[in-house]
Amino acid sequence: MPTADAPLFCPSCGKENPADHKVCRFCGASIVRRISLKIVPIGVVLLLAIAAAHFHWAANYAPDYAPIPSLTAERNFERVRVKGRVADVQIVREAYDHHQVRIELEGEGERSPDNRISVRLEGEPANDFLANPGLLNRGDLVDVAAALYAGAGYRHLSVSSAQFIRVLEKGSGPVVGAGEAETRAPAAPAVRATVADLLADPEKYRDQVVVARPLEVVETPAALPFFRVADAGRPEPQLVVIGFKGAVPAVGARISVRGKFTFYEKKGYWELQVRDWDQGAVIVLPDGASE
Amino acid sequence: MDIVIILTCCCAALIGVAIASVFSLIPGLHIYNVIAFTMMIAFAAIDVFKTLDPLITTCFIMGLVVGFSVLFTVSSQFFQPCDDSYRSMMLPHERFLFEGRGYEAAMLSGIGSLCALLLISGLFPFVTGAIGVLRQLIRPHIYWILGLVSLFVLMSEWPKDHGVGKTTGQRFADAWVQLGMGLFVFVAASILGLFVFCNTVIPVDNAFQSLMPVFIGLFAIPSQIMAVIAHARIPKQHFAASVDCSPQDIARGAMTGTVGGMFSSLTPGLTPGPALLMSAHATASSGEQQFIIGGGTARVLYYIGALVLFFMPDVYMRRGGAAINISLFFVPETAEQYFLISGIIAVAGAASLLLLGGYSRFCARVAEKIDFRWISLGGALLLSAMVWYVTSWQGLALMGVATALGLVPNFWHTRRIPLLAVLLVPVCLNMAGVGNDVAGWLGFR
Repeated sequence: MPTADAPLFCPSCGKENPADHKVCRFCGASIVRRISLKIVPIGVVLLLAIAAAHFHWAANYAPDYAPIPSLTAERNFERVRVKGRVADVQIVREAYDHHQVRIELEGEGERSPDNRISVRLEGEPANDFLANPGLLNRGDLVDVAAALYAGAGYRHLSVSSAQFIRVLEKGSGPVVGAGEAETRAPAAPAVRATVADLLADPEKYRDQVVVARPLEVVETPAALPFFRVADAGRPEPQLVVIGFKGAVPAVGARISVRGKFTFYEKKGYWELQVRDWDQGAVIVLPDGASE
Repeated sequence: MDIVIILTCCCAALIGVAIASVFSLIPGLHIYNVIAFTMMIAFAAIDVFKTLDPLITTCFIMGLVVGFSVLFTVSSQFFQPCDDSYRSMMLPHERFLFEGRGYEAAMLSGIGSLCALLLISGLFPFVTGAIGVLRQLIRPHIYWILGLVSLFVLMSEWPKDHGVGKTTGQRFADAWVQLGMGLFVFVAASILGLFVFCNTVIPVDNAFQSLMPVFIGLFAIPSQIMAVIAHARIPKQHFAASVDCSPQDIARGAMTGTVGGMFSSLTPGLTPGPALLMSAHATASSGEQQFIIGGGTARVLYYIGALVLFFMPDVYMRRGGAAINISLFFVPETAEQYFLISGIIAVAGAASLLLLGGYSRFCARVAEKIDFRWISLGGALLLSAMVWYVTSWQGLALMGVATALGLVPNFWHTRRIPLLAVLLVPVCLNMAGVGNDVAGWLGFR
């Protein structure tokens, strides 16, 4: 036990101070006014208690489901959570081999058109959904978290990730898979055109999938993900082909390109946009071939 | 939500904390660099990562961010001391280090972090609506708020040396050299920021990391260079069982940090440094302890608070590099995910705080036994290698330019806050809708 004359050691820097000092003469720290570091373990316990409460809420969370008839135009763009049974699933293959999944959901309660809504997945969420054939049965009770799009004459839910469709109770209907309920929307036929045709009347072809050939590769910048083409045998006009992930053909090669003819607003020029998965979009034509 | 998922997420977050504690040993390394590096590895092994529930990967990243935001200042504090020539502008934790109180400073910062973690996990879930309203209120005004912050940074520059020259020329230089260099740094950093925002110098594939070489060049490498050439000697550190502060210091420091942290997390382009500077004025904060506690609170609120806004049902704000990286593979949508994330923050925060004491002791002992110059040199080389790997030689060149600018405050003894103009000014101009015009005048478009 320290006596009245025993030297004090500063709790902050550990150096020796005279017994009557209340402030360390070396570092200036208070020797008497201190807070114990036991505060940290107490805080840790508090944090763990908060974590336990959160996990309890997460495990037992009862979502506030919106009744399907209440999803009207006044709630446009609202994020909603809906519970309903799967009445039908359509997998629509659209132009350019894109897929759209449409799930017809029927709310619990009375059967009426107001109590049904279409749940849509496009792009990556649709691909994720299709990667799990057998995920949904007709009659399954599902929980959907989505954004509402509703206006005059239309109403649907858009799901931003396949993980937001959760099966709460399996139904007994037929399994819906990628190969089964597939319906094909009529694919827009690709338009044949030359670079000269395209650039002579660009608005006519705007945002259409076109097949252009025979073309000649004019330039292949090493560091950039595009190359320039022109109609075979004619150095001008030129067009940028962008988005092709395969091996870019050499300068001078004759090729056929399938892509979307579109205007690049930022830089102000027209280009042929090839989808990154479309490995067959660029075909090198054999020598002498014109078709 | 399934309890197995919750437990798996907890494990993923704890692994994240463990990895963050290792990376935090490298002084100057930024958590967003670590996340970007992790993302590159994840994309390289996409088939493996696709089999994981995105929520688990998200919790792993959350663990990384929490662990890093609590621990990363410890290594900077012990391994990057400044020397005596910086006495006039030494920060409180640096002064503590030279008084043998580095451990106490780390624990004070930890107390600040604890306050922020309690706030994020304990209070935020009950005020999501208010935070959503606050965000909507701030949103249309960000450009002029950032403009005022820039003005404040400029106005708060002051001469730090006390010498008064004998001749008129010397007196003029005494009055203006430091001020002038502060203003020069602000203008040069703004131009560099506008250039980087308008031009993709680095390879297109890694363009999402275009700011990485700039930030490493402006902040990390100059600190390491200065540590290498410093003449500092770190005294033996004392491991205190208590800290020199009062409950009022904790309350006021935490309040200052909360204001600064929330301000920076809700305002794109703003970092906790200038936000804390302003909030310290606004809350009349004073004293070294309040400064260190406030810094710990603001840092955690900025890194974790900004990230948690991404999961908050009434906000869903994508703010900061971690949220941008997570949004590449995960879209938050439901309230139970937010509860899970809040719980994960609390668990990862508890683990980080438990590590903090031992971690600080370890760093203090390493600093006593190993020459910190070697650690800084190794850190500088590692960061340069990382910049080269991610952004190629173009990024390395950009880092070189930024490093030259980042060294100016060190050599002229001005503050480093004006360097943040690299982000403040371009974001401010872009949000005001004149960024393109200004870039055009400078020949960047």
